Amino acid sequence: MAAPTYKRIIAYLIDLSVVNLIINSPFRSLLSSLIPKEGNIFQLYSSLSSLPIAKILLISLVSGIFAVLYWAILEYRIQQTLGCIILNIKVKPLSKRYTFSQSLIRNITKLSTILLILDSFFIFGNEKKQRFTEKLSDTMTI
Amino acid sequence: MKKIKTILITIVLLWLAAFLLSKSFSTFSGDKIVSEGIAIIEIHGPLSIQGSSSIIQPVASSERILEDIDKAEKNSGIKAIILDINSGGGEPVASREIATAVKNSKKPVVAWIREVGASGAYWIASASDVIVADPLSVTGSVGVLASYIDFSDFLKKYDIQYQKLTGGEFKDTGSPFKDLTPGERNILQGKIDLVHEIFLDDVALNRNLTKEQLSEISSGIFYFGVEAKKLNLVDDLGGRDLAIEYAKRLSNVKNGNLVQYKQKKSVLDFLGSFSSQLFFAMGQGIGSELKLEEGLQIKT
Repeated sequence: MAAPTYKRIIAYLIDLSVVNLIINSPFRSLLSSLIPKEGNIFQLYSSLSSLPIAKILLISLVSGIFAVLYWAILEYRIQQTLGCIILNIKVKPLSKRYTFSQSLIRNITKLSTILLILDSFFIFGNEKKQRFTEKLSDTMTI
Repeated sequence: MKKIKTILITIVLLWLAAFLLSKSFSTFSGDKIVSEGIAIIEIHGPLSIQGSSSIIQPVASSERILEDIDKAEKNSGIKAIILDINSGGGEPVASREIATAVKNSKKPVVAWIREVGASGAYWIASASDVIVADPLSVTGSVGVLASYIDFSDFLKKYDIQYQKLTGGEFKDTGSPFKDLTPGERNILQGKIDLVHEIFLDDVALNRNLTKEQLSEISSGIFYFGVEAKKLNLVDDLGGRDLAIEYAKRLSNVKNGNLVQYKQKKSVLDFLGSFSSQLFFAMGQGIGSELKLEEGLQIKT
């Protein structure tokens, strides 16, 4: 039976905290050294043109990859992340074997919040409550 | 329990990888990632075109300093440059090429003279937008010096002959093995006057000096910071904090993250400079600084 949506959201938020507060903390301090700590939005806007945008995007992309790796590695190894253990939910492969590429595909949209939201719209309207990437990887969350 | 162990190991390994990657990001291509950066470039020791610092004697190589200025220029995160000067000058070409790079810099440059910023080092400072010096720092000395050790009497004493075979009457001018003739002395003085004139003109232009101020400094005398301020040779008296304050003000930066540009030395450089210093010291003891091949040296 598919895991309830609220449980999946809470598990995701727990994992997101782990990723942001621990794994990506070195990148966060690097990014904070790049973005000026101006007092208000107008001052920040005025300094936008001088920001090293390419470097900021590169660091954001790399930290996104680390986030994907956290979910992909743990779900591949133990079918659960810290959030999933706490909420008592797990990944169930619908195929005979569960490979690392399947795990990578089902978590690839965790690179960015917008992609993940779009991916999650597929939960509504299907019985197994699968996201689009879960359908692609032939997996579901129970 | 096994699952928790797997989770902990994964988190630790990923954090470690992220930490190492972020460290390499912060220095990749030698271009430090920074916003609102203020580059501090060291100019310590005698100015020379090439050469590297050792543990005994720092050398301000113009090659390295020009590289640092170029790096700071190209780094969009660097908003201003501070030249941390502690040098009594050196080779005229080294001084002039750094001064030109400072003058051509599109970013505000603040010269901070700590203990000594004289002669060629002052030439460089004069090209910056603002000069901050300690009240007791030694500055000015806008003059040219040419010197060599004359061994001619020493050779005569030991009955050693100096044989000269030259194509051109003045080819061996400045040779340490013979006295200067009056003609040679005139020629050398003319050359030194020419370098002095170029030096003075550039400093006068950089600092917008009046004729009176120019004639005052043309003697080549050195001034303490307090005296230099009265002669318009420096803009303000103070230290590092004041220099940083000027850099922030000139670049409209609020916080200012300091980025230190230091000469990077490999283990081989370190060992090389150490052994060369060791052999130099040994040779100094034996030969009492007989640097015969160098002959005449002109310094600003």
